[in-house]
Amino acid sequence: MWQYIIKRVLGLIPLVLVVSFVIFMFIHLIPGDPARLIAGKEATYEEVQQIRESLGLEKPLFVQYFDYLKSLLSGDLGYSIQSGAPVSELIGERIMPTLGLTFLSIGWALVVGILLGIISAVFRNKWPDYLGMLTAVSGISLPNFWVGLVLIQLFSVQLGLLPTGGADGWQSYLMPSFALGAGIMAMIARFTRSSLVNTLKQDYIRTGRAKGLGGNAIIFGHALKNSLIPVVTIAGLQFGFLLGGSVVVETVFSFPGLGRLLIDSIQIRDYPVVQAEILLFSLQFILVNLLVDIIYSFLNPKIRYE
Amino acid sequence: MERLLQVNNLQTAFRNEGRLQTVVHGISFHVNKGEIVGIVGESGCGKSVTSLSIMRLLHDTPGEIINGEIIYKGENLTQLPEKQMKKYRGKELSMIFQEPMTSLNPVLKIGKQLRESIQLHLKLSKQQAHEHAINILKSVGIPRASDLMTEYPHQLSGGMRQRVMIAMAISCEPSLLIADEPTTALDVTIQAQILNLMKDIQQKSDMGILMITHDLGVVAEVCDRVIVMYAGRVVEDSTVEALFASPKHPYTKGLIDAVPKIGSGNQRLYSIPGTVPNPKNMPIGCKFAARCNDVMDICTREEPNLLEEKGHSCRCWLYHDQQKEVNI
Ligand SMILES: Nc1ncnc2c1ncn2[C@@H]1O[C@H](COP(=O)(O)OP(=O)(O)OP(=O)(O)O)[C@@H](O)[C@H]1O
Ligand code: SF4
Ligand SMILES: [Mg+2]
Repeated sequence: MWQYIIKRVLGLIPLVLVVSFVIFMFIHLIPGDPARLIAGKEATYEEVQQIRESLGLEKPLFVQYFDYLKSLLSGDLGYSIQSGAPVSELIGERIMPTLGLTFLSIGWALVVGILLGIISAVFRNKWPDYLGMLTAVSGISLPNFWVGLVLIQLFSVQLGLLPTGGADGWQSYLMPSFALGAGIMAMIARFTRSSLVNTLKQDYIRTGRAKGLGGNAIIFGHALKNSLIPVVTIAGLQFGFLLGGSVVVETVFSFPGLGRLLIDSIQIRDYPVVQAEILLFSLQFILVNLLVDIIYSFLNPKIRYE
Repeated sequence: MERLLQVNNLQTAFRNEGRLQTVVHGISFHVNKGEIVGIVGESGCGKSVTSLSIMRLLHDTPGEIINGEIIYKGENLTQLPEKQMKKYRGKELSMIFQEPMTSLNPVLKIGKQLRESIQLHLKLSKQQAHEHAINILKSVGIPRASDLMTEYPHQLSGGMRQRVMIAMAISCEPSLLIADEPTTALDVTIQAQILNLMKDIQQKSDMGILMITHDLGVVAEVCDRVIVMYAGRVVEDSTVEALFASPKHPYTKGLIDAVPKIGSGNQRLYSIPGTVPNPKNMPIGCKFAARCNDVMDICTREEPNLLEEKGHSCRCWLYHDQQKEVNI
């Protein structure tokens, strides 16, 4: 098991290098002179020159890339054009609320989605199944910004129970994580259902019944682990997309997270911040993928032994 | 001899687009204690459905028993509540399936899969069940039994998996073992080993075995009595010696001719011409009429009954007095 994990982690190094190179090139791919872009329209020639030097833009490209990697490793992400503050500091302030929101969303989506999927599969083509799948279809079809707006209207404006925005205290996480997780929960419920229905038709399930096992032992002891293999894949993908979804939901709820920081930075062309955020999102995606592969190998012994 | 299982007029059907389609048409047979009874017949004649009916494992395949009795040690299993039936499965009656490659759960260790029924039925602790499982594995001829406990099915060969399946099935010392083509998926040398193993186990434990196969060679090898099925019906029922010495039903004769004879020089395998009738379009008279060399007028008009003579039953007009009357 550990061998497999170490192998997977080492395998990621080339990927991380490629990704960081592409992101490094980002600032060079913007049409025009990066130093002038960063300095702004009104900057004097001297100011631009100074920025050029401080960024090392006159050095050969690959030397610049190694400098960039070196500064990344020491935690230096550059400085915001807007405020002059270190980018690492800006991101540091925002990362915890966003991580909290993301994990809360994926957490409840997984728990509720899998439970709903199990119930639907066990009672397939009976009313609990229809009810569960109706819930799932609504979860998938309703856009999360709309769910967010309806929630604000209901719980904040009408009932005054929850704050409309911000990230102060757990109450302000409830509605955004609901809006963010609803679609994922629905997706997971549907995948769990179809996967479990399929698993229950397998020969080894019949073997289990022939041993005298009851319904619960069959579902939880024999079928679920097999059924979760495709579910993990889809959950991982959705988790990756959560990062995109959080941009919209954070805007709707004025949530002080990375998604809002990204939107704000793009609007004012604060390239160092944008670059750092893209790097962060990419790394997150890679990490989630790694996590999915590890869980996968835990569920499926065949992969572990290959 | 003590009667272990008595099946009377069993009828099993599948619901197909709202219509009931009967695939097992009132079959009757019995298995005594310590006896190996074979069921033979071509693919699709209802052998697996019969065995799943006895185990009452049909509900997942939307099949149901629509008539008949399955009497096990004096108790009618068709009337037994599911809760009681669960206690019987794996303990009193257990089953080995045709497909060793897919019948074990791929994500659970062999040890866990073996321990499961032992803990459930024999009420042993995990540790005791573990030891019991290792002993059972040794008894089915697996030398490195304790290593195997921590391995997964994909690490085992087909023959090894079938040994594990057998170990699993006999782990709670059932009185009746149903083996649904336990050797079909294996190659010839492994087949012989598995058959010998099953015979061994039967002799040591005195359990009854219902051996389902489409291979008369297997029947000759291990069975005491044999039931020949065709299109969901019993067409012949006799001891193995009588069946091979004097087969009655033209279908049985065809099956015996189809057994490859070693050293006969004739490498071409004889098989009965024609195919099994489609259950949606069953002929009215004898179901074998379209393929029978001895077919007579009456055969296509009326179905013969199963008639017994000195413990050897057959369903064919050739042996019917009524037919003789008609012919004279
Ligand atoms: N789940 C099902 N739904 C509908 N019909 C079925 C189902 N399972 C089996 N049947 C039908 O029942 C008949 C008997 O099938 P069965 O599996 O018992 O044959 P078999 O004698 O075991 O054949 P084989 O040698 O191929 O295993 C076949 O005609 C088959 O089409
Ligand atoms: S009843 Fe007639 S058709 Fe059927 S097996 Fe006997 S002789 Fe052949
Ligand atoms: Mg079969």
